[in-house]
Amino acid sequence: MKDKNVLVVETIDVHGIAVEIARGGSGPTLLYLHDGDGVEQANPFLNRLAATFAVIAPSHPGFGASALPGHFSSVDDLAFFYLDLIEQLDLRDVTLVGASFGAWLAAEIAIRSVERIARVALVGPVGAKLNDTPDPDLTDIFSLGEADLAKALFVDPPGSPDYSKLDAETVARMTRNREGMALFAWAPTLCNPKLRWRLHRIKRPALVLRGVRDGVVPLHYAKAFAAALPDARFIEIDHAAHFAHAEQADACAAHVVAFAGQRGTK
Amino acid sequence: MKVWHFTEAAYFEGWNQDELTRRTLRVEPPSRMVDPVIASQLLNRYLDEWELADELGLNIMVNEHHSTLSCMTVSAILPIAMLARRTKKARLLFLGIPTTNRMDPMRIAEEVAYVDLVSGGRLEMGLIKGAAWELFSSNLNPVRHMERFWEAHDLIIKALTHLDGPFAWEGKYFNYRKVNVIPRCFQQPHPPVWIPGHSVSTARGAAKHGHVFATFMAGKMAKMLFDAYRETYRDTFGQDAPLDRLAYLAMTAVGNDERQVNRLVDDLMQYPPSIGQTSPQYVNPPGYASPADNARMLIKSGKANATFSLGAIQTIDGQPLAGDFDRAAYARAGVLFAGTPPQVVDQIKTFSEAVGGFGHLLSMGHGGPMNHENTAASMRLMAKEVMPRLP
Repeated sequence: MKDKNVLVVETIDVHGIAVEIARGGSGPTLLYLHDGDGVEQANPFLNRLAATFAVIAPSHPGFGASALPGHFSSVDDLAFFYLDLIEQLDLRDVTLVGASFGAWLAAEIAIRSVERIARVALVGPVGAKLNDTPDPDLTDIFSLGEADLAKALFVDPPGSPDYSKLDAETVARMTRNREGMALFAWAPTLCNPKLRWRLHRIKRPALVLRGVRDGVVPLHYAKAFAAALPDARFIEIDHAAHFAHAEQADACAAHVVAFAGQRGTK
Repeated sequence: MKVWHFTEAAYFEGWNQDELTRRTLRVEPPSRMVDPVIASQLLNRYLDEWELADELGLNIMVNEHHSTLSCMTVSAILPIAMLARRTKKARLLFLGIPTTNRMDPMRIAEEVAYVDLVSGGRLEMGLIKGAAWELFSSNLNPVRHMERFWEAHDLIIKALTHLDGPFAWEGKYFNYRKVNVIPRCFQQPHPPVWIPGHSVSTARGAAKHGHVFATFMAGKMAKMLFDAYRETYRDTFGQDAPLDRLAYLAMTAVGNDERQVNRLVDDLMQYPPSIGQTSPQYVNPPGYASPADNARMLIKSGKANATFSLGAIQTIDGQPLAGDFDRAAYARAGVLFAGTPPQVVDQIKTFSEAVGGFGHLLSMGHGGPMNHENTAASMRLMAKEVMPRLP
């Protein structure tokens, strides 16, 4: 099934920060937080979700075409930014969905306040350090060569683009996304060591999804992440790696719809 | 023109030893492959050659890198501190301390002051940002690293020049309760500052402070960088930049005859290919270059990772360096000054005139597998026959 794109992009101002937001669909509010490669690759996933939800998918400050304030330097800044955005748009009973880096961000938002959040769905969550040793839980994506990184993210990698054939704006968004990812996730690598001790505050139903061949988030980590949440279900996605929401958009969207108790439309 | 003897103090014995080190010398090689006895001999030999530089009337330059077989000096201040005791006349330049990759500018200021005192005021203080791949060792963020560099720079200068007791520093990147460098440095207000770079913005940044600007093996680009420096210096200080504000690094090989020169050059030219021996993901971590610059590079190359190659260097007349080794072309590019003393004098003079002049030749007189005997012979000719004939 190929949906036509129902997402419309606009720019809004959140406390002086110009933010690009894709919106589409109708129904209960779903706020989507994108992974480190930007909102674009979630388009199929979001269009499925837009059949059931009113989808709101911003580009985080520093990603896509969203501005980056000079003082932003941690996920802490992004979490407070999103609390502002949720308040400004008066979003309520939000289904908060995040993938990879966006799942980390969703957790950082929800530990601060779940007042306007109804439930949380996380695809391949990173962001917490869950073991007590100096050894990392997660794969250091910044140290992987291009081919190894692609294999960690996709079962069937889309292949390296010929950048010389892409338009300048597309490439500029890519390099901006990568810079944003380094700014927020470089060190400690892909995590906030404090997050683990705060996850209990997310007192809302939660869903944790993981691609069975996720090369960034190990199985035991994803299960431990789910176990650290007060009320979470854990489901694995077949034929998917770290970017399950991109490679298995239908399956991931169906799980989110079922989790939210909404009637999906095909 | 002042001449400074430089070597990267490589562990050449570890280069190209297996599949891994043919691909990369940096970040990844296991230290198991370093023979402690050979490394000990090499480090002492390099220190001997710097001491020889002092005896010959050359000045001394050292650098610093991390987790690499290309350079064993893990802290530039270490050899400089030893040489401060063992040398008499040479100016002692570290170029430099990777300020972007060091977490503690106050410690840098303290060590600078200490070594400047021991040397009786012969220290020259190079502040560098550090190689991109070293961000994986330091774990400091690639994003906004130049901002962090300049804040560290400002803090170091203030720490060295503030003589009125402790001050607090609440910066964007550094936070100190009491900065108070005791003892203070010998040279007042502080040792000369050097900043190397390959960009117009770094050249202009150095010029605004009146610091020495150095560029390495930049070929034709040196003219653009030096011109930018001179322009900003004039705008800032209302007078022309003295020649001693500009420095240029090239490989050098001086021999009495063609056979000697060829032997030196064969060894020395094993250095340039090693620059590119780094796994692509470490060469340009995201955020190190600006998103706009990265986008331009991607569109131009078409590929995800473009690495350094000598092909990017142009001769003064705008010719790219050919893949084949052509000593004359390398000399015109200012990458290598090699020949008999009169030839080398001529090459340096010609290149210097073409880029508008510079006051310091940073002479990389050792590289690759060059042995001590050949290195010392080339250094002697550089000091006795070349240096006196330079402008």
